[in-house]
Formats: sequence, C-alpha cells, structure tokens
Amino acid sequence: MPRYYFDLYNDRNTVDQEGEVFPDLATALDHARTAVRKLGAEAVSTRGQLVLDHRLIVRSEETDEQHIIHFGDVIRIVPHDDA
Amino acid sequence: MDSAEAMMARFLARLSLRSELDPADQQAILGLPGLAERYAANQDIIMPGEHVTRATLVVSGIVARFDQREDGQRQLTAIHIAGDMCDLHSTVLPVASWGIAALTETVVLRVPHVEIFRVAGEHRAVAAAFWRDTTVDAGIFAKWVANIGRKDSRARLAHLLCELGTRMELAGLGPRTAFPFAMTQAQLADALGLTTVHVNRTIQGLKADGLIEIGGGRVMIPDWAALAREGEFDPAYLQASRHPSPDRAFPELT
Repeated sequence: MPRYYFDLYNDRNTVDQEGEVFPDLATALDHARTAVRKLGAEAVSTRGQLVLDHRLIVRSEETDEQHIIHFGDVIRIVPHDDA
Repeated sequence: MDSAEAMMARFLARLSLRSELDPADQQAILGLPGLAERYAANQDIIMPGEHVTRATLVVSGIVARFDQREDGQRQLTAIHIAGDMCDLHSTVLPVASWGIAALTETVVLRVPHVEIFRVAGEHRAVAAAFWRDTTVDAGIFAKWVANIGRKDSRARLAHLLCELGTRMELAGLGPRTAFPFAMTQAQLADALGLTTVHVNRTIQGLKADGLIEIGGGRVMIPDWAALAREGEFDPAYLQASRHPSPDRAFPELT
C-alpha cells in the first residue's frame, strides 16, 4: 500500500517525516479531512478561533502530486438566518 | 533466545517490585513453563473474543491491548513492556474481551493457564502477587481513561511518555529520561485517541518547547519535572512499593 505524508501548516508548521499507509489516495484524503476537522474542533474549543486558511498538505511517496486541504474547505459555517 | 527460566525472571522481577516472595515462591515462578513466539510489528497475537488457554508474557518489544470498532478503528487500552504478563487476568477470564497486538518486533512467552493455577494454588504469596499484578494493570487502565477522556493532546502524550519512562526504569530497561521508543505515529494515535496528524503536531510542539527529544528509536526527556507537570503525571498509581506476603501481613493465617 502507498505511503502518504500529511504536512500541517497552522499556528505551528509540522512536516510529516513518518507518513502512514493507505489503500489509495481517496482513503488518505478522507483521513486528512477527518484530521483537519478534529484539529479545527480543538482550535475552536481551546481558543474559540478557527483560521480558515490554515491547511494540511497531503503528499504521496509515489508521485509528486500534492493535495491541499484548507480548514475552510471541510467545514460549513451556517449563518443565523439559515439555521 | 533466552531459556524460559530467563524469560520468566523478567516477570519475577516485576512481581517482586510490589510483592514479597520467599525463595520457594520465586523458584515456583521461575519454573513456569512456556513456549516462546516471535511476532512482527503490527501483528495481532490475540483477537477480541478469542478463547485463550495461555497467558502472554512480554519478553522483548512492545505489546498493546486493544479494542476495535466494526470499521476496524482501534483504541489501544494498555501498553505492555518486557516483564509484563499482559493478560494474566485471562487465567480466570479466558475469553478475551480485548485483543493483543505487537507494536514492534516482539518475543512473547505463552504460559499455560493450568500451570499458573497450579503455582497459585501451591503458593499463597504467589497467588497474592498475581492478584496484585492484575490490580495494578487495572489501576493503569483507569488512569488511561482519565488521561484520554479529560486532557488535551499535549497532556495526553506527556502523561503517556512519563508513564512509559517510569515503567521502563522500574523494569530495568533504561532510565526514565532516556528509553527505547519505537512506536509509530499511527500507534500513538490509537493509544491517545487522536489522529496521526494531531500526534505529529503534538510531538513537534513538545520538541519545540524542549520537553522531549525523539530519534533513533529512543525518547529523551531533558526536563522530567516539566514534562510531568505538562501531563499532570503522578507515579503513585503505578504502586511501585513492595507489600508483605499474606502470611506476614495476616499472621492469623498461619
């Protein structure tokens, strides 16, 4: 199974040197979206703040391809009127 | 590979930390038979629900107890190091409500339940030591629930590293401030209830603040007091003091 790396750029930049294996890119991206949502949830619960431009970059060891997931991409903020 | 007696000596050392055992008791433990088995990293040793007839002594490497969800996601519920009989309780509850997996390359000794019963029946102090040993594991488990359930990611990781360091030192595997550490981010994530991304960020945060150094299969803790404070770690729950044998604790028994 291919190995994917998850580099985090939020209040602290964290380059992933270990990575994790997943069956395919789609599964790795699912994992990444869940990770971003959980990190975002912690940012909200501890600091009451979520920076939508913070991002997680998914790299594959097999290709040069990079996939950028911004925190703002994986959450939906519902205004009062639409709630 | 060591003889079964040399392997059992590690378990005797763990029991002797907390339980007074006379020479006959010690010899009975050293004489327990077992079959050594080697496992690769991430290999399962026992699956939840399996019926077991032998208990599992960790001789080398790191082993975890785990439970898993229907989709395969795992939560590690305990980590065991060399000298731990990681499912001694299976002697009295032989249908596993947990699994056991090797986290690193591991050697275990499988010890027949019937022999554990025999020794416990013949040596009251050994029975008490076994009972105390499983109670210590239950105490560690309770601490894990509080750690994972109520602390943020930094405190969770800090507590885990302080616990492992202290247990490694008690087991004679190195000082608590510099010990072998070969767990992957994914395993730490399963132990701490976090994602691997979060674990990596938390490790880098503790490193940047000078609380830990990780590399070359080891972890170093330059400022023990600071890491212990971060994790609210108090080693009292590890119960590392020796208790008298039942005959000395309760003279009316004899």
